[in-house]
Amino acid sequence: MVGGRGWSLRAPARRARDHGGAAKRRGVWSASAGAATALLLVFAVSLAGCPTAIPEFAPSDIEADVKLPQEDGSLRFAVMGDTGTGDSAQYRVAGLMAIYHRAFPFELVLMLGDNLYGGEAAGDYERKFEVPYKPLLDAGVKFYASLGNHDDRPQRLYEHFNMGGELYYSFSPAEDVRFFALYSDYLDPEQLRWLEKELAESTERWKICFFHHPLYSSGGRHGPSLELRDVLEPLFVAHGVDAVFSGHEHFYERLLPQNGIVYFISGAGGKLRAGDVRASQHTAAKYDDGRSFMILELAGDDLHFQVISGAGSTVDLGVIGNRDKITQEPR
Amino acid sequence: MKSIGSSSSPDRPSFAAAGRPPCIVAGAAAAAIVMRWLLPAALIVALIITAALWMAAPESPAGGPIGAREPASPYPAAPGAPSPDAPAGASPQMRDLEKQRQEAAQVLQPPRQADAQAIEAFQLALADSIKARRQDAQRGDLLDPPLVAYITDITRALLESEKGARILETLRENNPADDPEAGPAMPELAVNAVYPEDIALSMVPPSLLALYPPPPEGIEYRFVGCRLILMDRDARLILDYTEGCVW
Repeated sequence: MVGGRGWSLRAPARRARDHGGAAKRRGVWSASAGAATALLLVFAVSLAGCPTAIPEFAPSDIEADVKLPQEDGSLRFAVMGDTGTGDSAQYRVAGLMAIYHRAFPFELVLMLGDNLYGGEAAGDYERKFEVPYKPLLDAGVKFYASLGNHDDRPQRLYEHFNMGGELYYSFSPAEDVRFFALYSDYLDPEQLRWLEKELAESTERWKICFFHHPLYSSGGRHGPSLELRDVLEPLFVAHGVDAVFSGHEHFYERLLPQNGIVYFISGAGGKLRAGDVRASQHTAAKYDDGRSFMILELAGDDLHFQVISGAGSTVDLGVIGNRDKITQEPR
Repeated sequence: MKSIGSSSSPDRPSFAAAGRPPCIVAGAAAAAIVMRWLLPAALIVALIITAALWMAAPESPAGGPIGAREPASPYPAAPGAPSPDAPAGASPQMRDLEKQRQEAAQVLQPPRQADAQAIEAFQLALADSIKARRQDAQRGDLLDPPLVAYITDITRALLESEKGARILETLRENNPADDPEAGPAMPELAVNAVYPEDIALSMVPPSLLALYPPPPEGIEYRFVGCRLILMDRDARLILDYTEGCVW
């Protein structure tokens, strides 16, 4: 990597002959720009190695209480939905996520849609995403978005949402797991064909889907999307999907395994519909008293999850076995 | 996969801590070393990595392989349900729309990984381009009478089927006419009008999308009340709408 002698700050010789003075100026300019770039790179690297900064809007009286095993080599991630309000409630939850990231350094966040409510001008991206999650972005956390009914489709082009320009996509951040992000607002035949092909070709042990509209829900305001369930659930079952995360409902709910699949709703990262869960025969756990987000750890055959309320308390906790049912009930 | 972030300490430092974190001090020292010895090599490596990432961007822009998508269905495609009134193919106006949008997209080149300013600029430029190319467009150009009749027949038939209740529920989900949470008002229906950002988009039932003629790439069907609209998904422009209900 040491190659100082081989590096020339001068412009190429042919150009120097043709335009000597201009070439020298370009050389100096190139050197300056290069040095500035290098300094920025080094500074960015040093910051990335720093603990997550805790923003001013973080609740000052809360310490992280991580109950997940934190095994070596595990994949750690967070889940949040319906976040993009730009108001103080979203900022508080975002601050809490930064606090938990210090104790549980998750490397990615799944976004379950309604990422930006209302306007979507450049300033909205800043106010509703970049500012509240700046500590996580600065720490190198990658966000993977799915889109909800309040989201404009050009969000798929946004660099921090890592959608690769697609409304639906899959990615594999570790050897044993593949995530599938769907655009549930507009499930056309092309998307369904793509999903079936992707699921069929996936060889990963863990297959996890995330999208906005829940297939199962005990919400009084919306409830389950039965139309989507009709077309998606058979694919999930046939191809061994293990867990599904959705938003849309502004609360947290964990459903009892349905045909071997565990469904989560985590749609209270910014919005809240208090008291909206009408606990049903499918409900395994719920929290609709306040906002919430999830932290998860995938270690071998186990997917551990912990749900954190906006007040910092743990409101659900458990572990999913690979294509198995919940083995530990919430505390 | 290696975790990002270096500390698992439960201690939470003050946001306005007086001293600089050791890692920043270390970073400054590293910067001096790099300026003297590692700068040339680092820049060359950065250029190589940038070039490699650029070439690989369509496959793996997001830290893992993005699943390959099948090419869009060729338009026009035969509707999935047999119907004596099914239109034989796309109207000339619909084919023109596809061509116009392709031309606009070729000129503007939508970015695949952009910042918010670039996205906003692209969206506005695309809307301007489409509006300029379709300044003489009128209601009914795209959703012409044969197509509307076909869609209406399909929609009403499905609503009368055993799945009708589920489909109706989906049609009303976030529909500005039925869902007070969809937004503060109904969008104005006009050709080349912008669908307001603060009004949610109605969900479109998959069972209908399976039977409707597939629109050109980048164009979507949506509902405002019981009226069908055709809109550009990136420019958020209403391209056409039905005069009456389709269900």
